Amino acid sequence: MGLDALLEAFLAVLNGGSFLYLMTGVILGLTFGVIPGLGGTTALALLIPVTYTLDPLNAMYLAGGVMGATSFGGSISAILLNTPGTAPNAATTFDGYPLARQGKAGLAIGAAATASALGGLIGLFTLLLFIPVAREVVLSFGSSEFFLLTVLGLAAIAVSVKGKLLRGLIAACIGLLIAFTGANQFTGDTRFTGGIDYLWDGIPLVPALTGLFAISQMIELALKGGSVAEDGGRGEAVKMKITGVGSGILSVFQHWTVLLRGSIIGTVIGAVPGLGGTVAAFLSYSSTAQTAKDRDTFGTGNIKGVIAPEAANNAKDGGSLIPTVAFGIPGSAETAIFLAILVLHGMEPGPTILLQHEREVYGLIVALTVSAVTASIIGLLLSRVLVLITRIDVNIVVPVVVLLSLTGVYVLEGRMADVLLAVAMGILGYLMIRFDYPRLTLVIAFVLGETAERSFHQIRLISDGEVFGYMLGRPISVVLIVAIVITFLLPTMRSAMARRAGA
Amino acid sequence: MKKLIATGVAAAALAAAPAWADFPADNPITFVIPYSPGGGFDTIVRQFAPAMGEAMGATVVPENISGAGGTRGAQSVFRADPDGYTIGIFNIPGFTVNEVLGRDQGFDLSEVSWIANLAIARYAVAVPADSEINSVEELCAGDDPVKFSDTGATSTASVTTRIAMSIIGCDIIDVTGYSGSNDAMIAVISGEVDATIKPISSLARYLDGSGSGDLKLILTLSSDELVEGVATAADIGYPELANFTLARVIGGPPGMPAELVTVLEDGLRAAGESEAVTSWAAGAGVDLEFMGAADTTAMMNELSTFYQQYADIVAVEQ
Amino acid sequence: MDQSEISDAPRAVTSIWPPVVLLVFAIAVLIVAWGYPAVAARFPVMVAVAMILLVILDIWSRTKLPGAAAVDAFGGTDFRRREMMHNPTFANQAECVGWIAGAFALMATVGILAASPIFAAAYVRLRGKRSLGVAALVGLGVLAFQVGVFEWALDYELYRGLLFTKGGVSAW
Repeated sequence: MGLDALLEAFLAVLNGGSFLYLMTGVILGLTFGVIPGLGGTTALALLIPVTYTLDPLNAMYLAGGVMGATSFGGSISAILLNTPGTAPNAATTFDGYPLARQGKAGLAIGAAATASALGGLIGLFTLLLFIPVAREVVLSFGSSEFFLLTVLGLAAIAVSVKGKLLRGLIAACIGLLIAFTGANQFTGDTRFTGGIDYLWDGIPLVPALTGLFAISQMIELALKGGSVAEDGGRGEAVKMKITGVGSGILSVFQHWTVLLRGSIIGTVIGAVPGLGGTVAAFLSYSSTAQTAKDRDTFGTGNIKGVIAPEAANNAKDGGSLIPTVAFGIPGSAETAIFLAILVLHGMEPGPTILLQHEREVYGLIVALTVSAVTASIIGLLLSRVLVLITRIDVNIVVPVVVLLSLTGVYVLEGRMADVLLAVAMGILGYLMIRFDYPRLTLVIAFVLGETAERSFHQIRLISDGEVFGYMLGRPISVVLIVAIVITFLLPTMRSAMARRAGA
Repeated sequence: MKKLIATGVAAAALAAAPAWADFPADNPITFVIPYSPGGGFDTIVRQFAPAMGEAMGATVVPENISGAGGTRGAQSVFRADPDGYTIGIFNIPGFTVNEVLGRDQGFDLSEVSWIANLAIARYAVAVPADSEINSVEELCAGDDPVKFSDTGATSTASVTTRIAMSIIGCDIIDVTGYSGSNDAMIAVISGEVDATIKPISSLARYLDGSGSGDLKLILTLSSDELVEGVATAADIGYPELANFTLARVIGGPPGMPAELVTVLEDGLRAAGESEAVTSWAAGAGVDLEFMGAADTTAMMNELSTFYQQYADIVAVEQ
Repeated sequence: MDQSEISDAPRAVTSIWPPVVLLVFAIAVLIVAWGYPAVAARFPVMVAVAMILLVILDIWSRTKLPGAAAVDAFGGTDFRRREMMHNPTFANQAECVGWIAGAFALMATVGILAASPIFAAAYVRLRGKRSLGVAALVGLGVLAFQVGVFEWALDYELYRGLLFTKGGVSAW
């Protein structure tokens, strides 16, 4: 059944009209991806009313084109401007931007493009393999597994912020407190709202991340002056030649284990509703940096630090469709909008989605595949032009990015209060840059906080208070517990081994 | 700017003649949805809006004003001019429950000009399809409390579950925190919890025949038989459980002239009978159940009194 | 990055004041969270307590008290790998934050479409000290993008500003 439908969808997409929708999606996705503050969720949310008049299949091509292209688009700004175009690209800045500063932007963009495309393909291939057992996969991930995954994510924070452990953990605490703001899901009590209605739904993710990543970076850049490629004040421009795109592409194949690990992490985290691309990319980066032999060079321009998050970032789209094909539930904000489009067209996604709406689901998968590849090709072709961004006077870059990202925050829900929040978060983010508290650990904790708290609450009720005993009775939970223990012990074991080798 | 002038013109017209004299004039009617696009409230409004506009010879523009648990959109309707050009869909009994909890929502349901009710969803109790339990009596027979799954403690489904089971006298734990009603139903399938109470239209996709066949119903909270072979609340001796419904209620700002309400009510009724809406409802499993302004207002008052009786259960802290 | 940059982290950054502010914040959070019902209070209280302990360690590592070096070695509290290596004056920082706040204020009062070209041009001209021509070009470019992508292609009405919409701040 599956292969026929897939082939049919592939042939259908080559049809002129459909291909046009797909390409429109890709271009829109790339554009929205590159501009900080405008991401895939915003693009899709804006497209919902537009798709109302389209044929459902064409709506899928449009949505798939956008979904597949945004994350690579976002890596371009992460590498060139140190500002992630979309939140999941945050981890790419760690090594991508240092590479750009060393004049190796071409290498980084080449690697990011290739890793995105291949990661996307691996994620979708994994999805196809998993379709027959998707139900079992989803059913075996209960509250216990959700909780342990969030603990694993928090543990990875603790061990990965090399040289900034203490301040990284403090930032994570702030992130958790932000996550707890608003009416909590399970008891309905409101917390930390100060009587403001707006905070009742909690701190919204997209405006907060836009502030923390984009606005704060623009304040920093405005203070630095000059251009991105130029050290402030000194006036000596680093030559950002777009050479090495070819070796960037090659580097992904040389480090195929990094690609594979990133893709698998991306697929798994993508399949867990509520965690999303930012966590996937971060876990992929931190696990690669932790286990690599040359781990000391991470953060200073190691190409593996670009490959790992970018592979995970695109692979998560495939993973996020696993709960969708199994039960018609979204695995990410983007798949939620995909389902909303089906609902708008009078379809009712549920556990029988694959039987009833096979055409639409496979249409989306094909669109994602084509989009992941073409977005990377377009990106590579344009890389020579794009890199010029880094030579533009920051006094032009800053107002443009600030205006576009604040507008992007507004259009997501049409709320000026969101824009105000983004500005406030931008100032908080700038203070964190200034006083050297890592922003990404705050964001990861923020994303994980809500799931951690409510799934713990659920296990406590489900297990009649025997939380740990309940977890030990579930095989996947046991695997996750082992992973958490290893994550904590790895640095200690390594330093012990180093000491023995030294003695 | 254009809007400003338009409002000015409308205001001038208001002063000169009764507001409803030529309603709806050329101005579009804004239909506020207090949630983001794609949900149940959004879908039904987007289905009704074009048919309603056609019936009234006007343009009806759906507008999503989301945030603050739906109260932001409702507030914008509440504060608008009662000139008929702004109406909205309300989350009922969600907002009613909030009022019972004493939360200031920025509007007062008893002052809203109710126009119509479009559809009613009824609840049912579901257990895994392969379960040996076939009635609520068997479900509650064990020594341990029965575990139910829900999204939030203030969600309508959770409030329904806690009140209904306390009326029956069944000891339960309501496990809240699932991210959507689908996730709550999947928790029953995976065995995390024993049962769940959800609208029948949502459960349909997991039932044999209409869906995947993972769940089965053991009770519908209704007075008439809704699903063949499934006991009703009246059958087991608790007819008051039929009060638990999920409505799709349309209202306007306080103090709307009765003539305007009638015009809008007629427009909505015509839309509900149109081919486009009825065929959509049949496909999507929505139970259209039209009620006029008078009936809707009466229902809103009844609901308020009904939930007020159970204020202590609604507010329960786990 | 040469060595001279690495060693001299500004006093403002290495002083004890940033963690002291965080300590006050964490204690305030703890006091507020303490008043919540048991289930709702559990996680916030836990996190607030953890944060207080961590912040105290942070303060300790910045002092000359005994053990500060050990905390520093364990917690990685030195400032060798800072994200921001330059050291702007307070006035300059305040000015930049002011510009961002100004962008918001302008969007809020006259609407996004009007604010975009005005802010972009003003920034390029006043802070960037570029020619009027460049300023106008950037302003028009941003306006063209906003109108073209949002208003025209996606048919989305951007915020029109407090001056031109009903409902005031409550409609945000």
